Amino acid sequence: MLTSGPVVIMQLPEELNVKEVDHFMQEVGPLLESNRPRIVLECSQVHSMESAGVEMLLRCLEEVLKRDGDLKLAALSSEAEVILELMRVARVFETFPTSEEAVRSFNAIPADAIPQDAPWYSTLFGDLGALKQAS
Amino acid sequence: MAGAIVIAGSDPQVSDHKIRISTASDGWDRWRSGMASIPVLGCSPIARTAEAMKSAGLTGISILGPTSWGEKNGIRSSEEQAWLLAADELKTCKEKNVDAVVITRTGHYIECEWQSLLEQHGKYGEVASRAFDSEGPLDLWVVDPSRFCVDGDLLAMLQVTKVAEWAVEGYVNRLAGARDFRRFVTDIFSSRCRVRPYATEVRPGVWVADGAQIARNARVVAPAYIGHGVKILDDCLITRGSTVEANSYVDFGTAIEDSSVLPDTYVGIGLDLSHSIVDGDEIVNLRHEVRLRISDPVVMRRHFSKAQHDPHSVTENERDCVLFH
Repeated sequence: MLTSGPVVIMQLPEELNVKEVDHFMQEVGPLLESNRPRIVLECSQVHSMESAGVEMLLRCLEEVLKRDGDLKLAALSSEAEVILELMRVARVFETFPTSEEAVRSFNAIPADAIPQDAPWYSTLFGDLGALKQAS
Repeated sequence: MAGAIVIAGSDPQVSDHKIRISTASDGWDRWRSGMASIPVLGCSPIARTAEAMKSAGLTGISILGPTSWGEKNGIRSSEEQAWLLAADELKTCKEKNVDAVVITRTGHYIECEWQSLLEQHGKYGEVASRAFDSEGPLDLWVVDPSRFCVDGDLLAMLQVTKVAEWAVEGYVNRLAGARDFRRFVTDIFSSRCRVRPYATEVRPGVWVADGAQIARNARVVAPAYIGHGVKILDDCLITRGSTVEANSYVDFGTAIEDSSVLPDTYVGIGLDLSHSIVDGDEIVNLRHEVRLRISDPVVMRRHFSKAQHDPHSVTENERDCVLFH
């Protein structure tokens, strides 16, 4: 049976250099090994991020996905956004303006995630309706 | 006979305020002082101004103040010193019976008909004339050295002297920050000003300077500029009005879009640089309106020599490059 714990919000430090990454990994390590970890990393304080910091984020994501969990980023500072875009990893993460929205997203698919006007959407559900009527 | 004094300004404009020592902390887009001395498509606005003055027949052009060249060579000079030197220079012009002296402060870049400016000044009959554009006064004056009394602070004197107003009809860019800097680049690419890139147009909209090496499977999409001694390695993409200035190095697989890489900058492997200006380890992002220093030297850094910048040394990686002469 699959169970999942609460969503954990963690604040990233101001500087994500090698030293801070080691420190942060010690904190987050046990959480990553839990069953279906659900983590929100709050990035509002991040002012600088070395490649070690980006690697850490990717490593965390990899670990949570292995255990059928998820990791989301919230409240990204402009500096963090620039660095993630620069390192081509911005699109790998789901990002949210606030931690609350990130937490909520674990329990619901955001409405704007499904384009309502997409052709497959109307066709598929239109056909389903027709099938129901026919039956 | 007309002379010229070009002051390399550290602030964008001094029209309504005093010179400040540095503008570095003023905001995200004021990432460095003396923007007019930064090379743009191979040549700085200050050098382009001096060149235009020379072609217009102005003689004895003095360039004073802090410049990139000076900074690089450890020569520290301030703008205040430059104005003091300019006052001395003006006195010398008076002794030499020079008819008129153009004094311009290149925090900004102005294109105008220099001879027409001098003629107008003569017609007005005032001691000094000052250029204006639609946004207000510009730091460009024409002074009659025989009648202009310089007593100490030349800038203060210029600000209080009654001047004739002269409307500039040509291109003006105040170079007040990163946005103006990028606008200047795009204006050059789209021929909105007279400035042309210091390079050969190898195909429409793509300018490559001497000694640049571009890997055969790197892609340069117009409009783009690749400066002297630049190296672009395999799988790189330079596109949408990007410039890579002299002696910079763009490592494998990096994409540069709508950005300027300033001289002597190393840009690391597999990056996605967009809407930015990079100067050594400093990046100014215009979309996010943020300036930050990259502390990780494998990502970005300043480099001056080949041995310093080339982490792979000269290997087979660089053999398959096109060298431009």
